Amino acid sequence: MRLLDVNCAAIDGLLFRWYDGQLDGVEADVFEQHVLLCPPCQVQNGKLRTAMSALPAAARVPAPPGLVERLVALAGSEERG
Amino acid sequence: MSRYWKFLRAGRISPIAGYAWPPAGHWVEAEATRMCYQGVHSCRVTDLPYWLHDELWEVEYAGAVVETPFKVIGTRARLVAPVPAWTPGSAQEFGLACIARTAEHAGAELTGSGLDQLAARLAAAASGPSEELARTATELSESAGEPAAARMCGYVADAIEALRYGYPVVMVAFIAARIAAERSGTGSDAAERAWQSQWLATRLGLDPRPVV
Repeated sequence: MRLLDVNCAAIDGLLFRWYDGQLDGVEADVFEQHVLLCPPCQVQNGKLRTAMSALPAAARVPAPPGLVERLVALAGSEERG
Repeated sequence: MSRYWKFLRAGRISPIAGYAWPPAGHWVEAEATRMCYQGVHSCRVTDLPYWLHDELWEVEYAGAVVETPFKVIGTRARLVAPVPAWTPGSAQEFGLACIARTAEHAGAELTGSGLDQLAARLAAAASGPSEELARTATELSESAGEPAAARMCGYVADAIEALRYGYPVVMVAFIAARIAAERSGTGSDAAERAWQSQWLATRLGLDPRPVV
């Protein structure tokens, strides 16, 4: 992957993987370079960063009572079936 | 100990991850997938043109530093001091220097295509105000008659427009690198990036020699 070959559509595929730390060195450089160069992708990156930073708070919402037990029971019935 | 530098958004904010750096002297430590999403990144002199942004800081690392093609990465670092010579004014100077380089490359392509008169027109325009260069480059991008040369004249107009309308100066550097890569015949922009690095190091007074 070369920096000069990357366009905005290709960045879409890299965005989430960058935030998950899944890009290798070259891919990460290419992603970061493009975001620096491209105002629309900067905006997109900013929106994603805002959404990602809100996730930990959302994850602290407790599951409804009994959900875990129902899911376990469901998984068990599927195995038997 | 090697010297490193780091570009940040205004207010000591990392450009992509949005991490707010503490003031100079305070150590920060990166987890593998936090901080700047895999470690603390910074630049050698040769990396500077790729990462240009509002603020430039000298950076000190503790512990191992991994060198990658376009940056170095460590897990513990601190900002040492801002580089005072990196200002909106010197960024503008650098942008103008990159535009001049872009025009030189486009002129060389015109000459190489046998369009000597058009190359002379572009060179004459490049010695004057940027508005005149933009007009001439735009006109040549539409009329040069040789596709590669016409495209490169368009790059000149793009670079001027990018600087004029407040796009990040890193974009102007990229345009210059792109046209150089096309001219190189190998697709490599290494020589242009080396020129850019040297310009920045000289203008900003950056000493790449290790700290003793």
